[in-house]
Amino acid sequence: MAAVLQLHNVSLQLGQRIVLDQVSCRVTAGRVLGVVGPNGAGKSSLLRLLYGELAASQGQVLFHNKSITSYRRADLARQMAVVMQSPVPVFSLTTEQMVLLGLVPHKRWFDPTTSEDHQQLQLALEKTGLLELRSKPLAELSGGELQRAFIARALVQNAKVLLLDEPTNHLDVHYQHQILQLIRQLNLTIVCCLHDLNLAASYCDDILLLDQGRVQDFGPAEQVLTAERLAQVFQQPCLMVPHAELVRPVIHFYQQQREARHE
Amino acid sequence: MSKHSPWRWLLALLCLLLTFVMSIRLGSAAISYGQLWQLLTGPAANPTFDAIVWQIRLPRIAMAFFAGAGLAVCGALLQNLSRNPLADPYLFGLTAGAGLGASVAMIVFPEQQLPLALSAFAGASLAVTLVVLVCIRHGWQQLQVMLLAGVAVSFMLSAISSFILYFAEPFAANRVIFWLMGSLSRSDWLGVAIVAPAVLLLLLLALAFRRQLDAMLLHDESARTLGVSVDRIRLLFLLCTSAVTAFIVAQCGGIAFVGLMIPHLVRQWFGVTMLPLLLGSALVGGIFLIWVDNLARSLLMQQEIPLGVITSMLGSVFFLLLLKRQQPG
Repeated sequence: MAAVLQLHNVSLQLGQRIVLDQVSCRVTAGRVLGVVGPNGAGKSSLLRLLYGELAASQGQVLFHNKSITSYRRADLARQMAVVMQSPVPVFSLTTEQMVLLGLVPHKRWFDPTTSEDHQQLQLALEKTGLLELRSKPLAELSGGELQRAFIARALVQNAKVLLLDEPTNHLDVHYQHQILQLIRQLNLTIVCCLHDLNLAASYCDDILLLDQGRVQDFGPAEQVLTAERLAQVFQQPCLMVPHAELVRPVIHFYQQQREARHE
Repeated sequence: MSKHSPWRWLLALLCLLLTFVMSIRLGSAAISYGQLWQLLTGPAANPTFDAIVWQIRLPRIAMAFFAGAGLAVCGALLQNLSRNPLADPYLFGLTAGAGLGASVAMIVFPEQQLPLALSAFAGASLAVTLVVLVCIRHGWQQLQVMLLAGVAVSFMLSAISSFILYFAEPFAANRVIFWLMGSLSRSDWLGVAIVAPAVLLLLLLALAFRRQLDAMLLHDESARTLGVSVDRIRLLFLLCTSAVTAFIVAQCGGIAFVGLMIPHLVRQWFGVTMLPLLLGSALVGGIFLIWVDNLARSLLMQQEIPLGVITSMLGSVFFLLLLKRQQPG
């Protein structure tokens, strides 16, 4: 399988702090990579390197075997869509207007919005279940609806690669699964930062496990997500409980024994 | 009636037409509709009326329209660029700069009109240059820097012009102060020929970049992932809106609140995205300033009220009403 995105010994230093240290990994076409790790592990920074918002201090970030910095911004935007934690704009756009912003990298100067564009909009709104909310201002959407609106924008952007920063943040359990099922169905190459390890285990093909800017493990989800490894990285005893109806075991962290704490 | 209904636009255009006709007739020399039609279409039957309409009233109305349209478009652009509903063309020290230029010109060339306009333009450009320099030094990423730099430059330049005026002869000081309050009484076709193309070019440029500008309504990083060169576009439009405002201020003096108030209204009536916002701001801003000028020349007998006095008065009432409407209950 061809590597879409590659990191070669990438280090990132912001001010005095080393955020990422010698990170290497690759994202293959059509697979979902989950980036997991404790707070401050460098998950979001890694994502920002991948979409060219931050430049690596050392090492190389490659997109289709070319350095990410050699792409023009608009060229990159036609191939890669990003869903991040965005605040609601001061001048509230409607859902439809925001989703249509996905056209920005595809349009020049005075290009009008065509009927094909509107068909694409329609399709994106259908897929994300936002048809009825299309003319509602963004400020009136719930967290889950807003997140889906950003995914709809990425669909209109028509990119083959989708990067998501904590798409399930602030969502209830139902929406967490709904969002991840949705992005799984898209058949895109996806990199997704996730806090919840069980979600990562159920929806990601590969896992990059980061801790304090270093790669702890990288590989297929079932190989990376083991009890010993997670206990070591998250410094909390961990159990993998097999479940009769689920393909993957349930990850459970539990309270440390009292004696152990007094050591 | 939906925000995208063509009826709203037709209504606005009809308002403009009515405004135009009514404003030409307004003034001490009474002109009938028949005479007006004749004057606008054919050879002049009455040379006095011909001169009044073509040399005095029409350039003044045209100037009012383009100045109002320009200020409203600049306001709309700056508000969207800074994601701050209180941004305004005058926030970047433009009026203070123009005031300083005018003060210097009044003292060096006390009787002439042209150096005053040029000097005011130079002063406004100086203000923008200072703001841009501060911004480049402290980074474009922070919108706060842009706004604070504008306020700081504004106060510095007005302090200098106050200092100059304090030592100038009282008559010159009076003239500068009156000039700063805004007036269209000096309008001529030359002024219109400077302001109108500048406003139209800015409008065209903004429409060409309308999608990028809309993308910047979200935050900068999000706009960059859509392929928008955020810093470059912000600098480009800061410079262009400043130039257009400087042209307007040099011709008409300071007219406050138009750039702040009109985009607020237009967002309610036509929408928040660039296409309706810009076209709506141009139309409504133009119509608004024509009426303000009509008031300015007809409220008091024998005397004109400075435009800035009327716009500030209307502006403050407008914002008080806005506050009242936003209060819960």
